[in-house]
Amino acid sequence: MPDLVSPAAIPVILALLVIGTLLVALTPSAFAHRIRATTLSATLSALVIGIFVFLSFDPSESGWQFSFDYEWLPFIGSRLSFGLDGLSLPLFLLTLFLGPLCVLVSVNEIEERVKEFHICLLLTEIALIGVFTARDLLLFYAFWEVLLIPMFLLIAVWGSGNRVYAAVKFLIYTLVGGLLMLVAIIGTAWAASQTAPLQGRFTFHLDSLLMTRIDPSLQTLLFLGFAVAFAIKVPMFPFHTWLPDAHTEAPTAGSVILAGLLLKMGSYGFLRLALPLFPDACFQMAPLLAFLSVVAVIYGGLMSWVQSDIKRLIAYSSVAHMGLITLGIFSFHPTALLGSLIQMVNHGLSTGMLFMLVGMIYERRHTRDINEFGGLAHVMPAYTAFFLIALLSSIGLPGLNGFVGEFLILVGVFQAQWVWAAAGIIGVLLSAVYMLWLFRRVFHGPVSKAENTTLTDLSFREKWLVLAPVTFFLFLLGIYPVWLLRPSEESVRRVTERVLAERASALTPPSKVFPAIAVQELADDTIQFLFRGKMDLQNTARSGLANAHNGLEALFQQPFQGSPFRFRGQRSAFGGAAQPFDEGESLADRQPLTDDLLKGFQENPFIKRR
Amino acid sequence: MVNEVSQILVSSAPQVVLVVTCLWILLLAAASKGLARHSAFASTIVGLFLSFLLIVLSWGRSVSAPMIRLDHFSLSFQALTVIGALLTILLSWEFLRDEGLMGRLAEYCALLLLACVGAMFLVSATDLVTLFLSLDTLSLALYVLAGYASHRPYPTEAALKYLLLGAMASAFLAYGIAFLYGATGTTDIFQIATGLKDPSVYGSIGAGLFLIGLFFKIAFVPFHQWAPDVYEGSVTPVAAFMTTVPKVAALGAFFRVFSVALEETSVGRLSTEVLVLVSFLTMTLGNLSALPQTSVKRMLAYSSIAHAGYMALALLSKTKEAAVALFFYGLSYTLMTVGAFAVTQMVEEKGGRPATWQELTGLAYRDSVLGFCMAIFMAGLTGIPFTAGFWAKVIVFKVALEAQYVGLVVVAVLNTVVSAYYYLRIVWSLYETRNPSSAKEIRLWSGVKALILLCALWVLILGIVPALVLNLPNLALF
Repeated sequence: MPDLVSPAAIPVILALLVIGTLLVALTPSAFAHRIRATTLSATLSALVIGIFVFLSFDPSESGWQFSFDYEWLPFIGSRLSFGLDGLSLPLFLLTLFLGPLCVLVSVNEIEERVKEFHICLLLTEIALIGVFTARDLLLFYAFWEVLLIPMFLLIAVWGSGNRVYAAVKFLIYTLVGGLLMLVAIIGTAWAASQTAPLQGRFTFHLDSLLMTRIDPSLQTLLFLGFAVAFAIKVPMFPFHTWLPDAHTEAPTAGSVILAGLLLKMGSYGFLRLALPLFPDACFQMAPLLAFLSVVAVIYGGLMSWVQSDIKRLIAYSSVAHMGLITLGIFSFHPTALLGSLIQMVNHGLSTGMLFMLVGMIYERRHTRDINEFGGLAHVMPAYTAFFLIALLSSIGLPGLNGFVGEFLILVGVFQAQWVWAAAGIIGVLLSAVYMLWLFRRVFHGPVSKAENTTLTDLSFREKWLVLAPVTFFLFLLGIYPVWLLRPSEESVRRVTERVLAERASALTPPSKVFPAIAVQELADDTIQFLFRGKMDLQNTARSGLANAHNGLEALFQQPFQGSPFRFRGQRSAFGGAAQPFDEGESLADRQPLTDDLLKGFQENPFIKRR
Repeated sequence: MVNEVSQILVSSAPQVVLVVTCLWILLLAAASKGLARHSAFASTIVGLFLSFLLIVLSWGRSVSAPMIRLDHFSLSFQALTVIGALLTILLSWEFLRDEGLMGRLAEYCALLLLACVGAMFLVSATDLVTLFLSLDTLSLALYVLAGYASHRPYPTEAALKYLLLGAMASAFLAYGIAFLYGATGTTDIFQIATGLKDPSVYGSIGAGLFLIGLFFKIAFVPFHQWAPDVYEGSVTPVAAFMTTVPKVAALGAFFRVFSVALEETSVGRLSTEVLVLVSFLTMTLGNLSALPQTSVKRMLAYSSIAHAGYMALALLSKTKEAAVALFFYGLSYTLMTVGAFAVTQMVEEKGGRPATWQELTGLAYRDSVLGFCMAIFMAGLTGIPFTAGFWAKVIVFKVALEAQYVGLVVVAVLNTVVSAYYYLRIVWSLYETRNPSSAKEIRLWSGVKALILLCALWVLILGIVPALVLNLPNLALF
């Protein structure tokens, strides 16, 4: 039975959504409720299939599951190929989960052009599922790019304020990145066809491309093509300026999709394509990208602090959160990678919920200016409670989902390079500052404006259909995250192993991309300072702790030598830098370092003194 | 001798059918004093269908007559020409009827068929003389077509501009051919290739003049100035025809000459470099000039220039795949451009100036089918996935990347971003909810609407299953 059913799962989900879109398109515009009901049932039935897919997903398998493979265009070697693995499963589920919520949250907000709005919503969901399940580079690109049109229309037609400007900016940024990625995709396929395993066969299929090792001298160029596209989507620091505009002007459902799912396409792209296809280039560029991530974390935090528009504040906080996620990815540490993956889901849920909440207050007051509010806790207690939960989850309070992701990222990054982690922690601190300050200004104190005294609290739909499900998952992922972590572990391990193995077989000189010597040093550090044990949450947590002690110790004993980036030889808990891999050795062959670690704990003078 | 004549006749059967139809329509018009409009219109369609049928029937045969050649390359481009002409004639009926331009419908049909014949000979020509003759047959018909509705100022201006500059281009071509003949002693493109092996000044001058002539006809920058005025000035169905069929056919002929006659010679290498520059200029200037246009028709005129620049990427790599890429690009471009012109035509004021993009505001809410189709055409011209335009671009880029023109491909990609601005601006205005006051009335033309739907459907079909066309057996030049 599974042989017939499992390959059909993803095409069936896509087909359901396409049928939903057609049904909506054929419904006359006057029947707004029927249109909403059709969209809702299409997205809900897709979600139900998604749940079945999740339940039958085999977490011990690191390869593709539910794979569907069919010839698409033999002329240039493109295949219609879908599949799920640990990397795509969480985001696939998140997409399906947020789909119905986007319909429900727009019931009051969107009153005109209902039909076209829902068609756009459905098309967006189709494209996102396509991106997260595609196994062929051209197919991936196709879904990536086709998403642009409905998203552009969602912002430009149903947005508020300066919507056209925001939409065009979003469009131009994404299109530049996307098309450069197209060139890089064709370049990758060409470069791969020149290698021995493919023998001139032109293909875009990911599995075939991963059999090859692309010439390291070409890798940097190709990687840059992909990286620009992903960095714009994430968005990483210098490419982020489209995001605050687009998020602020988009309708609520648009913001939820943007923050919850669209940004994840970038970080998912890094994990899915950039890391496994271009390991050498990734290593070269890692310091630069980690640096930009840290800049994004701190810059995003500072920018959030000074915003007076609630939506804009949350938009900038997204820059900071996504910075932490990319930082985790470019530490190449399995724990951090897993943390980044889970943090993508967490950010999607908590920021998505925050945007929904802002949308609800905007519907009532038609303003998002923080100064217009104050003392809302007296008027809207239920709203306040939900807002507080989402906000605390976004800060990363233990017990809520945000903590799990942030903790895993920081633990992993710490072991790779503690300075980066220290900078990341500044970002976490900043998030507490701006979020709690926002909460104080909007909800505490006396009710300052007369208009606010008559605000109605949440309706049944808002409370129980929209916010309650998200809140449930905020707590579930905060208290018991293993159900979502477990299926991803094997795939994350596979990605890290691939990156590390490739790296071990051919060491390239440090990058000349970023001129400062300090950064070259950092490159070496990042490369060599990789976690060597098997991935095990307990162990990594423990080793992280040991590292923290050692790092602090080193910091106190020896101040920085010259440059603040240079701290060679001061960083290891286990004496010296990690050894590079030998020929044929993989991560799994290494002896777990638990014993070493425990010894380190016992012999650590810093601990003994206590 | 008899054998040769029969061979030529057999290999040009699709054209012969069209010539016969053309004569029949003219006779019919003379006999009925121009009143037999329905039969002229019907005969045109029947003739085009017959011609298409003959092309399909002779698919797979390869006949090499003197001066022309019937192979998969010419057959596929001939089919494309017939499809373009068929779309145009279907587009014309309701438009000409409502504009009160039915007076000379028979001539209109006959000229369209004649232009089609010229384009079909153009893509099968293997001799510079045939090439020149067919190009002039095509151009002469187009000069008159551009001036259709001669009582209005714009078409007259368009026709005059087109005639003057076109005649000059023809002069360049003829002069170039004369020089090439002087240098090599032949006008057969296969023999020219051997003749040009030894570099000679006359050969270079000849090739240069020849290329300038062709560049004029294709409207490559910097020989494009006539194009926007001519395309905008002509009546819309004619503009739709002129931006698609002659352009694609000339590019096809160029491809053949370029990859056969100029291959592997110093002249050929030089002209490749020229072509790189011209392609760069054409897409960049075409797109940048399209940006500030408010008239949709003029915007499409500039966009057609830019697309010729993209298609030039396929010319650079003279492989079998490049021929397929050029054909697929030509096909999808024809479908999308004709469709876009058809939509513009439906919102155009009677006898007045062409519609601006602001006047399309909210079109999708007044006629959802029309709005959606226009969105598809614009997305396709941008190159958004799941439309034919996407695959056209991907394949052309792939071919050019394999020929190592990385820089040019990156320029093309950046140009696509520029073009997205003006194409997607239209998509936005179609779905814009506010300020629909400037919106215009949509004309009630069920035939044109059906045609638009057909084009949009094919743009989508080719976008989802491109293998339908790309897997045609041996679609190749050699």
